[in-house]
Amino acid sequence: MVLAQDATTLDVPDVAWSSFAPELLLTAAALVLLLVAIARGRQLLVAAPTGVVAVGLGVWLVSTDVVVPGAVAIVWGLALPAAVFAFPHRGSLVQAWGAGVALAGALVLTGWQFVTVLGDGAGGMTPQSALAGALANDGIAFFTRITVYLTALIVLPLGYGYLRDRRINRAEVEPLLLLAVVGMAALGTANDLITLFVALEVLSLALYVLTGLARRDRRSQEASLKYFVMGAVASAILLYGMALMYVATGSLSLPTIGSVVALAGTNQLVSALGLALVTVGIGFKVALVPFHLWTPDVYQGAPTNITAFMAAATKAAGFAAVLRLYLVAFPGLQGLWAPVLAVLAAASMLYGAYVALVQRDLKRMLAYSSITHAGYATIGVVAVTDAGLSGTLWYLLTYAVSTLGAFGCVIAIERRRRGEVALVDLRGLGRTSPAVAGILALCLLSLAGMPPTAGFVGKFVVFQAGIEAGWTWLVVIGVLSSIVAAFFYLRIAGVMFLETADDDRPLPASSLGLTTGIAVSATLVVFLGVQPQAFLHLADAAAALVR
Amino acid sequence: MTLLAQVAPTAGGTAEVVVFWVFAVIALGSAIAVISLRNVVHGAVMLVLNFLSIGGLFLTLESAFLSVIQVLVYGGAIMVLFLFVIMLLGVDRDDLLQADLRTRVLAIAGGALLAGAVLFAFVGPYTSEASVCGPDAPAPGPGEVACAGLAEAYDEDDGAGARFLGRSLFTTYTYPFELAALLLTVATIGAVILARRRDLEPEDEDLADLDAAAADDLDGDDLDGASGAAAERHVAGDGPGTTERGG
Repeated sequence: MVLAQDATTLDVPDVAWSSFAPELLLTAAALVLLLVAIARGRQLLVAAPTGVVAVGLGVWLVSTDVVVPGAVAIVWGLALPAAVFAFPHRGSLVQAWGAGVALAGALVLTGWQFVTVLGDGAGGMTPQSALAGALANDGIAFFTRITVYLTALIVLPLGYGYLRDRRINRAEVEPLLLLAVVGMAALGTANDLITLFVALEVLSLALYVLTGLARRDRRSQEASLKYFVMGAVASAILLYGMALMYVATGSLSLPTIGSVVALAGTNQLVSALGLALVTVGIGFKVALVPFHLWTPDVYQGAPTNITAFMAAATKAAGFAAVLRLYLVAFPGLQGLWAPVLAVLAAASMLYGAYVALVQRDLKRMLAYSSITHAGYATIGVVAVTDAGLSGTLWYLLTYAVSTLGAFGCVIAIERRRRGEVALVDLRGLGRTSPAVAGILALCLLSLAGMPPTAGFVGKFVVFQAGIEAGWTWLVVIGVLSSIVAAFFYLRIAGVMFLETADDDRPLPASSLGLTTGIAVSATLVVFLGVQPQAFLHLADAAAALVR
Repeated sequence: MTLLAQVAPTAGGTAEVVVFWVFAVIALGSAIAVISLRNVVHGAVMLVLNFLSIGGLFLTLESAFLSVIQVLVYGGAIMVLFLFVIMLLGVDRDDLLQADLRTRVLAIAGGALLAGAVLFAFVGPYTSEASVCGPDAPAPGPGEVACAGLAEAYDEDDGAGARFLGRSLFTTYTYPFELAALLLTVATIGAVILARRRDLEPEDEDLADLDAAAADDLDGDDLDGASGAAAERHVAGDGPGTTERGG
């Protein structure tokens, strides 16, 4: 009755399609791949019309001078039917290729965004706000997209053979992975509380399911349930904190909250309470001590490729939200949250490194190592400077490539172990499979922060930002925990190269995808360690935010 | 009770008062029935009645949108969930209704506390003659937010809220709105994956080769179970045993 009353004009919002073009592509790809999976045996019936539509859209875009997205649409529109045609009875290969081309396209579109909208031509960035302020296209968004898309692109070939070996290569895996990626990218761009929360839920929900993918494996089921229950509680706490922030400031937009929150007359008690609850909720998502309790079990129980994806991409997306929340919405309350976050960071670095020392299971050890690395990344946040912001973004990228390589090697070793990989299983690996052992050692050195790997540059930049901002004690703790961490990373290398095994058979030959994934990660670890200048320059420019 | 009865005459005529009292009596009666009926399903049906009459009360307060949402979400979705759980546990399980003394005392204390809190929060400021929301309410001073902007919002919105909500969803919050649609898609896919008895495996020819290869191998198809690996390790005699550090 009310709705039918006079049709007052509605100001149709100006939709800046380019501002979320990569996510749009990935969403479309995920839904089409889902349809392809359902059309078992008649996949061409879905793929061919979709391809025609995509190519038509691409041609139209090119004709309207939107060349790059048009080209991406055309390539994807051709790639999907081609994949179906090339692998007629290999459904999971079609899925993997369809998703891979879409992710590569998303990377291209991110670069295109940088060239056309974000970049100022001189390598710097001009942040842009779009979709009525719900989305910010700025340095955090750019870096999160790069890290998350790159991670997913490496995880696809890493996991392909692994999922097949474990017989859990379901048709829904790639679409869910793509949707999780969309959630992560949306989290990196979210500039109001609602978008931030919904994006967080999109990625969390997809990850809960992916964690429990191995339905015959009790540990995977336990991990999924644990992750879900604790994640739901954390989400509720986060939501309550956001509601309190709204009560205190009367706005959902992060920049508006940022300008209101420090004003006299704003209810400081309610703001502080909201801030505390938000810190708890978001601390859970990035696994800061003491909100890390889910991490070891979930990382150990989840299928290894999903663990790699969680460690690298979820951390990047979670820290994007942390950076935006604290640097855009709460800089006025810096005196309140910076000391708290610093203590959490110190606790994460010390606790993660100490407990990782006594782990025997490789995945569990890497889980504790991820907690430690969440601590390092937080140093850049508490610095509350541009250097700290770009340091954290850069650190997340270096951590992502290092941890992807390490988990890739775990997957390669799991092919022999057929189950969990303990430290003793690595004995003599340096002799039997020198390539895998060498790359694992390289990635662990990077995680430990040894030059000339990516991890060294990452730690260096973050520590430097911390020192400049006056957090000397925090950086000292960071260095101490690095030394402890270096001990257990080096111990693994020692086990591999110095001890001998009873079983001197080499590892089973790894699949082409696994080899590619590991090789790409290792190359990036070295490349970002030796030639970091270009990316460091980008990270410096990324400090421009929508405020 | 009194607060709604007080507001009603000022807002409308006698018909509204009659409607209010009808719904109020049904709401209270059904609420008492929910906790006193022995049959769980009857109790659930009474709860539906309670939700519907609360929806009616929202209507008398000119909040059409809230009323519809009350019926749809509470009367529809949440009640279906309740009934599912009741049916799963078994309708004839009357031990569900047994409560020992401690539980009873706790329940009564909790109920009293909640009622007291609601009365304390609303009866004072919102019902007295000088109520902050009443027709003769003084304008809120600096820092006071009680009922500020309520009248303007009603004027702008025909008192329903639906128009404002729809406008916001399709302009300011388009992006999160579409993301929420994506969230539902993810939830649906996830539910299908977790609920499916047989997995939808891609029709891969090479899975057959894999089976043949696995048959020669150590623990065959038992990739998902740790038992094979554990047993093998036990024989090897190095039994590492994962060190558990309390989470």
